[in-house]
Amino acid sequence: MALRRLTRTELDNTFKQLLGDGSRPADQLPADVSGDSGFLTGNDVSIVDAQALADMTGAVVATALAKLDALAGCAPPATPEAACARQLATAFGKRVFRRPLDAAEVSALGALFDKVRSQIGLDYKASMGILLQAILQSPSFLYHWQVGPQGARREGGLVRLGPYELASRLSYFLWQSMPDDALFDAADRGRLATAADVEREARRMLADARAKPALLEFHLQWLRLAGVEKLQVGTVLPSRAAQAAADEVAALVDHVMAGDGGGKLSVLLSAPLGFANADLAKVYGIGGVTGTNLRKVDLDPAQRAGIFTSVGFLALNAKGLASEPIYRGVVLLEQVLCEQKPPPLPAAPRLADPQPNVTTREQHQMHQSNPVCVGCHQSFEPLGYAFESYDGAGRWRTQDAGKPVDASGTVTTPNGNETFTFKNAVDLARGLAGSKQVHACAAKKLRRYESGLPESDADAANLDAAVAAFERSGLDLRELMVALATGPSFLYRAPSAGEALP
Amino acid sequence: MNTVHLSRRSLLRRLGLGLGMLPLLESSRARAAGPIKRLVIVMQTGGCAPPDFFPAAGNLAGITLGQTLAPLEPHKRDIVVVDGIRMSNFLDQGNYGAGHENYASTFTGTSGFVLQRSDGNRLNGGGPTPDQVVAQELARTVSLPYRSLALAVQVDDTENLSFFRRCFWSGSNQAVTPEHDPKKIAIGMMAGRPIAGDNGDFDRLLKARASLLDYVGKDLEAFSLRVGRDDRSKIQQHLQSYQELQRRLAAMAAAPAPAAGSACKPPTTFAGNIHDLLQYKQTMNAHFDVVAAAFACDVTRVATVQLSNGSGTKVVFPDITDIGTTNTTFKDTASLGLRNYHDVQHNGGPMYRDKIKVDAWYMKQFAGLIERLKAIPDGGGRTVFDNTVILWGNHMGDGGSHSSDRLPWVLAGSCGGYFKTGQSLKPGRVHTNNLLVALCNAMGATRTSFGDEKYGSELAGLRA
Repeated sequence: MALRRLTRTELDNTFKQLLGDGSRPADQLPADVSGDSGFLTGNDVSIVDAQALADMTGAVVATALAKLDALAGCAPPATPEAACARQLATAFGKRVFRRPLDAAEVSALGALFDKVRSQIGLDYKASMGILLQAILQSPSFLYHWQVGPQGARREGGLVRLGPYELASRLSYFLWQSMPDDALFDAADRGRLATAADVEREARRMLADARAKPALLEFHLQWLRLAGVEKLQVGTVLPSRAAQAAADEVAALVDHVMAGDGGGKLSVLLSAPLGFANADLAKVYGIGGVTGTNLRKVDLDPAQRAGIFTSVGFLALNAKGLASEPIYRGVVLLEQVLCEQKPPPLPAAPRLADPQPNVTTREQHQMHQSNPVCVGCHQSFEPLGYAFESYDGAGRWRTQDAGKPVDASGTVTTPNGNETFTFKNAVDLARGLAGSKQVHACAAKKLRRYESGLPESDADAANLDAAVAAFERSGLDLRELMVALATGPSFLYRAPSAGEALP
Repeated sequence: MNTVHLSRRSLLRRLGLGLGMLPLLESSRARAAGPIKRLVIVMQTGGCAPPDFFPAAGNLAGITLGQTLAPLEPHKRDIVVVDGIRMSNFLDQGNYGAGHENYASTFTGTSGFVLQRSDGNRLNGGGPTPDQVVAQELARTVSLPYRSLALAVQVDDTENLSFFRRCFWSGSNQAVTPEHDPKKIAIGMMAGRPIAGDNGDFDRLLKARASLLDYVGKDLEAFSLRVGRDDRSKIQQHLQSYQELQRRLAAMAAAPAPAAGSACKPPTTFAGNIHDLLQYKQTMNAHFDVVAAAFACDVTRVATVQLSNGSGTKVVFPDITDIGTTNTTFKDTASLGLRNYHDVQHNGGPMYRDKIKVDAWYMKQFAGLIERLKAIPDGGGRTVFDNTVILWGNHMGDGGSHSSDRLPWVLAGSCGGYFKTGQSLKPGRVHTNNLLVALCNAMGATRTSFGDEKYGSELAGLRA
């Protein structure tokens, strides 16, 4: 299914941009769910969701009414009330729907105002409140709609997106928020149609401050790094340090996407740098870092390489202070190599309990020796063994259970395309950064994230072209995003079954 | 305790609903004949310790219950235990023999659904559950504020393992979304949201609200015509949810004002934190309070409560002090210094020692739910409990092996004299279907089978 409802984060960002309301009203909605793409999307609207949406809209409008005249851009008596209501519907409505309203829509909203104000007799402000609630409960606001009244047209077997559809698709891809004035302006003037138009806007938008939280959100979902701040691993990683570890993940992503990292995937996956405060420096085992503010630190290149050796990733994929090679390996397999972990077997034999003199790797040995287990576990668990040099809090270790750590391994991906042989995570990280399968996977994940759909066969040529551009750019993720946004899969879409098209 | 007494008129004002529906709703309610029957399905997880759990067959009056069921001793003339219930609809899929994957299909009795764990972690129960079948049947004759009340505690919707988050369904692939926050129901039961700019002039606000609802509904309909077929069903669902919300509020506004001395009181407002793992018991009991209040006020006649997702890795029992504090294998709660329920299931000590303690704790909560309903008079010298049946269900049999047979289901309450309570049955192998159909029959949604009809009809010996 193509139609997705805006996520809570998208709604919150949009309310901020639309109304200056930074109170994150959508956080009160039920949690988003993992969609067909593997990325978050709004739930189908159950009764619980409908109630929560109505509550949210009521709260947003109650706040917004305080600056009604500014929102409407007019006020009685200078402008007659009915005209002001229509002005609100037309101008504010366009920003909410992310497209101009057609005449029938403005007329229906105007009629709603007239009825409430004249026939029912609510005062002006309350009547405008009803109008705002009507606009903000519209599916044209709540969904990533694909067909506006304007612009979409058939070309061959495909639908070419209209300017407002492109503006919306682009802004939620790069900002997780609504289009800004410049994007609306480009759409209004017919300057959002060609690949060159989209490229111009995409580059502008990637350089804008609004890209930062959106790019972080993508990386958190992609690399399954959400929730680091909620960790608490005894006294080794108390919650204050966990917050620092979460902040470090954000700082690393920002360093790559907006700082000196130059957008480079290789920096993200394998650079020996981190961001630490005193709490986190203790976990990393580095001296000379004081205070609570994070600062960029060089980490030992023999010990650390990229975001998968960050305390956040390692501690999130662990069981208390114990490492968990399964969790760590599965993230790499599914999110970095784009391979699906096979389903678990019925009544699979259970691992032996941890023992004081047994390393985690030894404890997991059955998964590599028992023929019942190895068929599946060999595809992901050895990837996790690369991280045996780190305990459950992300601390470097050379010994586990009093024995030397063995973090070496060989992994062949389930499709047989690639084999990684490594002596530890640093080694593996470099291998991944240079892997064609990883580069292609990054493109697939970005496509899934932006479209909300699994990639289709028709997408393959597009993705190949984007990956080629990505590799030509020296693996600059921003160039990959631009390439995806300017390719035919972004400018066109397949028609939905039963869809009424102009 | 928040016991604001609301007149119907003030309810209407708060709900912002039209008065026009009132006569219609009242006449439909008046048609109900005989005792008002009610159904509760509770979903525990993690199975039981079968050797301790199942009593000998016979009249329970002469049988001493094991340690697990001991908290139900005061209520044993009111319960039915059946040994031999098998989740055949799941087992016959052949894909899985045991584990957590059966959670979604526990109460559907449907076979032929597709297990999709490897594909986006989604699992479909394959068909409707008795709560929804009964609710739909009831809706034909009575318009209650909540057709059914779906509640859940510690079912983390942000977890990516969605396959064991839902076990109640209104149809194939149509999960019932539960409410996690008892306050939301309490609020929903007693008041709607004031309209922005509420100046107290409620008659006009009522009409304005009606106009708004009318507009939004038309907007959704117009939108649905512009999108493709698959998307259209999504928007239709949005529209139906919206319409059901309106119907609910209208029904609430139209509900007869509680008579003097009525047991209908709003539940105590839950002041706890539903996300706090340490407040598991408090949240669960707040849900039970809501169910009892909803029945007392006839806000609904069908309720479901999920006591966990299908794993229990985030469920802890701070008040059970002698089950240890260390998790051997499942360490989701390691930072709390408490053992979680999933760890206890697998590592319950010799003779299921710790598992039995935890299950007895659950039965104590069950007894609390029974006692709440027994405390509510329901006319004719009967209590709400007398007119209710509670199914305390579970998707596993043996907790340690996560098996799908010998499910430790307990029925409580005769549902207005339908069930012969106070007995323990050992009928050999029976299918979940044979009990699920009995729930429907007891509630008046009469049928000969439930789910896949090949599993047969109601288990003999259940009826009074």
